[in-house]
Amino acid sequence: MIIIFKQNSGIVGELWVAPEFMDTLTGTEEEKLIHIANKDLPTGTPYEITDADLSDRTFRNAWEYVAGSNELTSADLSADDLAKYNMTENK
Amino acid sequence: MSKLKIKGNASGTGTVTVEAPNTNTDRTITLPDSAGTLLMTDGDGSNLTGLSHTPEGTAVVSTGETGATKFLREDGDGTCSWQAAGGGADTSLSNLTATGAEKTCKAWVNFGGGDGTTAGNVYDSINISSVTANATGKYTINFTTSFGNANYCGVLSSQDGWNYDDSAVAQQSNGDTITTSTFPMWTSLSGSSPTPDDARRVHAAFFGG
Repeated sequence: MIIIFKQNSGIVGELWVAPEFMDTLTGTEEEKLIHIANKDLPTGTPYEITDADLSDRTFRNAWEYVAGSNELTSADLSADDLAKYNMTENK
Repeated sequence: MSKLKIKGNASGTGTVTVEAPNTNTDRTITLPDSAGTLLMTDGDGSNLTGLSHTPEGTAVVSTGETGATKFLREDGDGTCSWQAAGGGADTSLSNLTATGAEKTCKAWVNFGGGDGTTAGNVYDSINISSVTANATGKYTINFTTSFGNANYCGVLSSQDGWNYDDSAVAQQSNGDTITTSTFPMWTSLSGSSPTPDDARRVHAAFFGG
């Protein structure tokens, strides 16, 4: 599964998770992906976790983000997580 | 002509025999031109002086110390002593000082850029949480643990993409902002027109504090 997210440019963004980082997290796969979305997407970014096949890259810049029923919104990391990642603020 | 004298010992009772080896070759043993006692194979050599030895690259064996973790230290006073190595050599990087850490690669990633008919994918990495694809040829690398400042060094390269002679340049655009936690970058066509283009593989390594 990957994460697709809405960008101000109108082009859909893709978030490709590093498996090595996923392996360090606990919880279900969806919980891990939500954590990564909170970490690496700006707070308040609409996104979806999907298993869509994105191998056909034709007209990539024309892909648009359309909110689906499973849409989530990225949230702030906890203070502990910010410290763990040596981050001074949320993105 | 100097003379050779063989003298017995009035106090002893044993018989000393000078014996020839089993050989068909004539031999001459020349005695040292000094007074003293010859060192035999069962002697300890404690009275010998002026010996020199270069132990570089040669195993130095201790008869009084055990354990493979000890090393020989020059003590600064012309002598040496065996020292414990404190649990053996530390082969991890966890004990690097701040200065030492800046000399090592802090993060690296090898990812597929979503090229042709292949979806994007992070193939292998260290200290990378994810890569975001923002548009054709435009990516943002997200670090697991952020750098201490944004003046770190990113070293980039890319593999040619799906079509012949396409994406071959990996660069950081001056229109994008590097932060301590994210590194935006492009892969683009070579030549005079730097049009962003997906790369088959992107390689990036990062150094800094």
